[in-house]
Amino acid sequence: MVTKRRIGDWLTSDELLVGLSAYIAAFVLIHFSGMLSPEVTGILRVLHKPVVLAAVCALIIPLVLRIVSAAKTLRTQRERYAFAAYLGFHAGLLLIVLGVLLSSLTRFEASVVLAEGQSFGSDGTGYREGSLYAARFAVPPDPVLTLVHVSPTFKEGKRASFWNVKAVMTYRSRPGTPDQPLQCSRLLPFFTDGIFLRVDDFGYAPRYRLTDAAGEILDEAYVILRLFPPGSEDSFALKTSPDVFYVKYYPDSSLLGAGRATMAGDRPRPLFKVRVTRNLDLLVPTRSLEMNEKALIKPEILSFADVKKWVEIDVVKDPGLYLILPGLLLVVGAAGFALYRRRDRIWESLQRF
Amino acid sequence: MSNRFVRIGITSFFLALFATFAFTTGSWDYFRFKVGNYDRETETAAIEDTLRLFSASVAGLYMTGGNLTGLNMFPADATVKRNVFMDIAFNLDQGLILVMDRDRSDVKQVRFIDRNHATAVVDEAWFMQYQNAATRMPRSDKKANMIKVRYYLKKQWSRWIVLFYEVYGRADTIPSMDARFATW
Repeated sequence: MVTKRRIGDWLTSDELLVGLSAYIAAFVLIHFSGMLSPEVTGILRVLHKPVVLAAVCALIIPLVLRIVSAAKTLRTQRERYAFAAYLGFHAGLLLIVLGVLLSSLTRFEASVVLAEGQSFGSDGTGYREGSLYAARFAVPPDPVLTLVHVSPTFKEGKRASFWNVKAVMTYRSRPGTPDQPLQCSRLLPFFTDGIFLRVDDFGYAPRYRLTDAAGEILDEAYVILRLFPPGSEDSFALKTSPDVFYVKYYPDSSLLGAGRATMAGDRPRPLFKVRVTRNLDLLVPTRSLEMNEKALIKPEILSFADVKKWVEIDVVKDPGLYLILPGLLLVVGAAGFALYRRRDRIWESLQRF
Repeated sequence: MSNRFVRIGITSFFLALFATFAFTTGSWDYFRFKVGNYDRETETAAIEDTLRLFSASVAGLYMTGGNLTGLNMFPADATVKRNVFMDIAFNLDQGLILVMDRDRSDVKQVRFIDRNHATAVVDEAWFMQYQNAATRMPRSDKKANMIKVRYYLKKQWSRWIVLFYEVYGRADTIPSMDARFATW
């Protein structure tokens, strides 16, 4: 039996451990319940809040006391394996706690939006607006990324849709070093030089073209739009005009299900569905537009000349993860081992239940 | 598990709840909104008033060629105002004014995102005609503009304003709203 240590006259280390764990778990659950804010951030960002971090720091005391007690008992006890699991479980928890503390000081997190063929060099200005999260002592990574190719997969089920995107890129850890190829996806992040890269979002970037009646190009550019899955609508507007262009895009690929194909009609793909408004005036009601087909929006003519794919990539550099991930493995492994050792007793209890 | 542990667990939960409300900005307001402590009827009426004033202001500005009287009453974000004035200036450059007459306006749905953000879907029918800015002689046929508009509204200094809006045809399906709206 592990001896219970008293912290002060009225609290044992076990009680402090239960109290702090319940406090942290309750705080995290309250935040993820969606009852306090429409925004939900990642679990580490919740744990970095000072009111939780203080409790995480305080957890170190009962965990160290338990580990010391277990280590002493381990030498004398007959059931060594059980105590080794007990020790491993608490050592894992301690690693997680230390990892969270380190993460709260050093985590760097941001998103980059890249279209095919586009490069990103992190001079600190290219990250997506609002995505940057840097702890007090975070060292921003300095990678050079070039997006080579993107291949999406999309399966539409009756209840939910599934999508994944593979992004093939070249990566340079810092300017001047050689390029290395990398592949990351939404489901499988890529890890190199202490940086996690993961695809977070995907879409199409059509190149619109505005011409005058004589055919002279007035304006032309790629616009990053959220047009995936096919049938999704997004819009863009130009700073110099009150016109808003609403676009849907049906790509020429086999990733569309039958339902989506019907929505696009029988016209050849790729196909756009476009609507143009000027303030409250519906200038062009929703109409189909093939690639390079022209639509008159007085006084200009709109067409789409090309489409590129884009991805949003999460860039995470967090030294705390070096402690958190092994800690999680240790906790799960130790708990699994303890349950395995007690499987007969658990089975008996279940049968009685 | 002893009663003492249960008591400690419950106390910790309430401490976490207290810490959340005490140290997370806006959480108490949002919680009250989520549990129904929010006068939706009054706010819906206020939004309908705002949309009526918005339509009247847009029509008035177009019709007067951008007369600034009443601009402060125009319940819209600066970007919306800018777009209206851009179009008016463009028309005036060509010697035109756009006369807009709202025929019908049916608020189909008002949806509150939190205490200070809401969307409203409105079926609107407008008649529009370009006229000569100097003589007011018609320069185009009257156009019936049958639209469905989704307004994104924000409560600012106790007053609802239109942040932006999306215009659809009557037959168009309205897609799900922009998820980033609540943070604006």
